[in-house]
Amino acid sequence: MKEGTLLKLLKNPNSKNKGFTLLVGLYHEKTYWMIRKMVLSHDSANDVLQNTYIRIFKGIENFKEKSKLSTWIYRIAYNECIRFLSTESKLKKVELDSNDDNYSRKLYADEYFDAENLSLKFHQILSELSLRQRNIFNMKYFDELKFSEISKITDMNINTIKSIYYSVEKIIKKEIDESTL
Amino acid sequence: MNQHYNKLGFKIPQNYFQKSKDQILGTNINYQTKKNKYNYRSTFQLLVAAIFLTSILYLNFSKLNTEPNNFSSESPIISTILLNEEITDEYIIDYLTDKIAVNEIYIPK
Repeated sequence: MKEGTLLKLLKNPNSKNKGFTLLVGLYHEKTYWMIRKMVLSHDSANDVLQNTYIRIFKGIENFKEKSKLSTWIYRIAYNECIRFLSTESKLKKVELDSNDDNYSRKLYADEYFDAENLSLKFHQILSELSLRQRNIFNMKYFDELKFSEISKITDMNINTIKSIYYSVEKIIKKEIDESTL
Repeated sequence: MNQHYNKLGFKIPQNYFQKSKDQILGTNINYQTKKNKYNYRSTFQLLVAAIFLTSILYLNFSKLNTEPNNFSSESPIISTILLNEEITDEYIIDYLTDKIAVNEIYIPK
């Protein structure tokens, strides 16, 4: 379905519910995984996902169509994650440039984490990154978003994003190479 | 979900996405329906309140229009006004005698 058609459905009060059902069908899994990588535990991701959809449902009439619908959805999800992490860390504003000291604790506390996988090494590297670096890397590498989309979602300069991504990619490659030697 | 996700070791409960979709659609669409019901109800309530207030006002005004014709011209004060006479003590005393019981008037010692 074309985005324009979906938006028409969503913005018409008579077809809003139908449009919303289609939207959930299209973006549900991708939005969940994007959130999960930021908040780590499944239960937290589920809560944040619910709040994200409530915001989407209430705010769709105000969507100005300056970006793709998917970018707008991921931006809401991203902001909802930042809000959740701030509440979780009891800070007014989460520190994007500092490391998450509880990264491993959160992972191991989650019953939906498979510690048997090669994931351990990967998470060890990710845990050493700042939240900002990790988010940018996740969005590009896992979610396969364009740099321009990441820029709109995070409200950051595109060149800064590129620079962060390539430096993180370098770190990860180096770490993996060292561990396989 | 692309192949790289396997590297993260994240798992989800069985049928999570289907259950979650149903829950989200139920929550948001029910919210909207409830909101609409509430709006219809409040509009109806406003309409009933408006009709009620209009009828009270109408009844009161129609009562006010008829009241001036219901006065008793036998009252000494009214008749005095109607006949354009001066009010004297005599009329007032008569009026008070008629209308007020003597034992209800407090006379200080």
